[in-house]
Amino acid sequence: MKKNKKIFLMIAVCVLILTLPLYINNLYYLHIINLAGIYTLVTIGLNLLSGYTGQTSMGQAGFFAVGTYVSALMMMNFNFPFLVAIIIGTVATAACGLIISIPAMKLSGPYLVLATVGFGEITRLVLLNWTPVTKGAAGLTGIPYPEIFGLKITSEGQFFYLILIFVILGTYIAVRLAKSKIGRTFSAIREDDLAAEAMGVPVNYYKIAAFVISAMFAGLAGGLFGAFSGVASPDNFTFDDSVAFLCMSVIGGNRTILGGIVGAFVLTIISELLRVFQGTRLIIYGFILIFTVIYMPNGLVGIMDNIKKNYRKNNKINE
Amino acid sequence: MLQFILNGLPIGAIYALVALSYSFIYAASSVLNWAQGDMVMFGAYVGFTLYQVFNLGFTPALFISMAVVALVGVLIQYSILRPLRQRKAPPINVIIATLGVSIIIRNVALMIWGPDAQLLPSPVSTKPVATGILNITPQNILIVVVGLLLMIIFQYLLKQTKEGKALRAVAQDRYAAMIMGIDTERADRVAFAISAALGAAAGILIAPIFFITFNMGAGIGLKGFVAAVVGGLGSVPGSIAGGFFIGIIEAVVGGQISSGYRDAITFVLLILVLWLRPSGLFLKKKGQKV
Amino acid sequence: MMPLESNILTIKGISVRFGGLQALNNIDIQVDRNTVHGIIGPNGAGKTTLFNVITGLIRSDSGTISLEGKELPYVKPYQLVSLGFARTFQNIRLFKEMSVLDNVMIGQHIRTPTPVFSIMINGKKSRHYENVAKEKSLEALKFMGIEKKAQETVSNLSYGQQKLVEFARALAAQPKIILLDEPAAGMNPTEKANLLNIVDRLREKGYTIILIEHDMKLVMNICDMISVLDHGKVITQGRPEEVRNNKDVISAYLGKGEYVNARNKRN
Repeated sequence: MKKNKKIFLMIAVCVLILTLPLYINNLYYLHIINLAGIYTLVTIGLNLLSGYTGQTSMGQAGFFAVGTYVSALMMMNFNFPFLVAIIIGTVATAACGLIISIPAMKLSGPYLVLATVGFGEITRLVLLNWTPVTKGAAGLTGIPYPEIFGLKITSEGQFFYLILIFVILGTYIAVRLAKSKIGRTFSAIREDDLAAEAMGVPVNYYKIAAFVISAMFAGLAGGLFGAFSGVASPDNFTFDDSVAFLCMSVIGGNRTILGGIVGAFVLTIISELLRVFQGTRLIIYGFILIFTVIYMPNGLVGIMDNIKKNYRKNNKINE
Repeated sequence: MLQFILNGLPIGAIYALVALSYSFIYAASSVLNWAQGDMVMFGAYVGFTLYQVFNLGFTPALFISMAVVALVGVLIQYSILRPLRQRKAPPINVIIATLGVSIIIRNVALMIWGPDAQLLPSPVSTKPVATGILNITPQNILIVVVGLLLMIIFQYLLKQTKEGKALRAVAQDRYAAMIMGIDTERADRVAFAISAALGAAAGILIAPIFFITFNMGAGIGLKGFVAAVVGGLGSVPGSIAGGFFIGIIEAVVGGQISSGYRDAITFVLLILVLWLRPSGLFLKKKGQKV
Repeated sequence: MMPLESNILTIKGISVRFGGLQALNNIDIQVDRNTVHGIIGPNGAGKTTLFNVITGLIRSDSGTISLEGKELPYVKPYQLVSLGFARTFQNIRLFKEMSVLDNVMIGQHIRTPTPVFSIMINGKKSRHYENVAKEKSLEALKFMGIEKKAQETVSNLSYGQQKLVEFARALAAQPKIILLDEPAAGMNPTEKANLLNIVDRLREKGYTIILIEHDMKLVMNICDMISVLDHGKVITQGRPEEVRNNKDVISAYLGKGEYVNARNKRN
């Protein structure tokens, strides 16, 4: 009985998601959802790096930026089609991940955090100052719409499906990694990297892998972001954005992939909803962050798990 | 070249004060206070208000602002960091909490004082005075002198007073300090108060040169943190040295090489230090226990 | 058929200096295959340092370690498992937030390949290797008698149970030599009796065991050979009967104070 209920629920959710653009007509809402979808890719990658492997990164905006700029430039300067450009962007970001992982793998705690912040800032400053290529503070404008197999993606509804495909793909890969030996090894490194090493785990290689993987997710998201918003400037990729990604990761729950999805959506939507409050908007946002982190240390997914556990416990008692 | 080094001294003193604040809190309670830079900003604004509204002079404004911001610091420590410690929150959660504090302080400041930049006039001239081949600004001298004075007082308090000794004990071994009867929670509060006060002082000192804006804390906070790590996080002399080091490097690189890439080079330097000498340039290497 | 060389591990001339302290001074120890070899000595004698040298956490200043006749180059800690070593830690180093089974499966890390592509598509290869690792890990847990706790989170287990999980994890690494760092620390008498049983069965199965221990009764009971360290030097080696009455050993312990004496009295 229970299993059928679960399957029915899952199918219902899938149908709801797949038909979303049909019943959410407000372009503004759809735009927010699309943005949240793009950010989801970033937080999924960040969860693998920081939640699973325990390497706190406050520099994901740097990877995000590289993804955006490289794929945009590929499309604008060399007329590469969208999919090719985005792959190149992701590869470029992977290289960045590799570069930062080499000093980073020796670090932990505040030192690691600072190294990632440094990376994010260096990236932003290069984008700001390398004017001949990146157009400096003005940034890139007129990033072309994606064209996939002849179909041009221009409307919010079309973007929804494009982003959805990438989110599904990304989630699938991330979940496969997380549930496998690789995910288990990541977690072991987080818990006690010395013991993991003593048991034969080549910890440094895995740390590098975690950085590269999280960078690729962010780079892919960045490529989507460029085509989605049409413009890109160093202002979009500041330390505050890295902070936002980290918040999404922790608020959603950084030990699971679902947490990344939940965090990205919840925080993006809350951030928009709070606009009503105008000046006090960010103050409330700050309080939400503090409150969540004190009273919901495992994020929203953690709360859901607790509710499930208590529900089961209570049901057992009633039997 | 020498001119650049001279120019770097005042900002170096500011970074040193901020670095000291970071290090101190980190040593005492293993917390990275991302809101430290905003304490600087808040202190500057409070000082400005004291001057603007109450017509106070520089020195009283300095001390009262330090006291006010110290109280704010204690409030933050008590209402946010204490519960986090009690719940054994993972460090990443603490980071997010202090980031939240930073966002709140910044926007409260925006609400109170508005988006326009304010100027706190200096008790001394901010115009450079030529002495031989070098230009020196009296304000710069003031910053360095007052800054060094504060650092010296800080060192004295830390080394010679009973409170200071208790704080050092907590920084070295929290558990042992607790067993010895030291009130570690009070130590946390005191550490926060002092760090906040130092931040406020930094803010008021730099205010006459930088305009006061609600965002000024971000850059200074980050550079101060970099200085603390480069010098040796948790070490008083290390942080001070780190502060001046970063300040001078910035001035020299900015002047000699390029002002746009100046910050980028500082961060590259940071990453190199972290890679090759993670415990800090001015700190002896610590071994790893198994 | 040529019999296997009885000597499996030879430690020759190992010296380690920490600043002004000579932690290990020209250590010579021979460990025979399929024996239980104890390393004892007063606190600060250098026992854990020696372990850390063997397991690659510390680099010795001089000397060699040879495994089955072949001299070992300095290897990184994670390569030790492939050479045939596995260790436990003095203050249990388990992956606290993970399940018991996951902990033990980490021991199997290098025993199965990690086929990345197959993992991504949930292919047959990756599932097969996971099953192999799972089987071996459950076997190890069964050997320790705690296979029922496989799905429990480690932080929910008692101290004694956690120690067993750490043993299982070392066992899952399929080592030739198992290094136990103060396995009996913090154990009650029942657990210690169980430990004796486990070490005995491991020896029966063909493993070589090197252990650091302070519990003299346990050491005398289970070890085939004992090396005694004091102040970084080996002061004597031999069978339990020989070592127990050796006057240098007695004076080394007596010299260190009533503490050790009292311990012996208690046991």
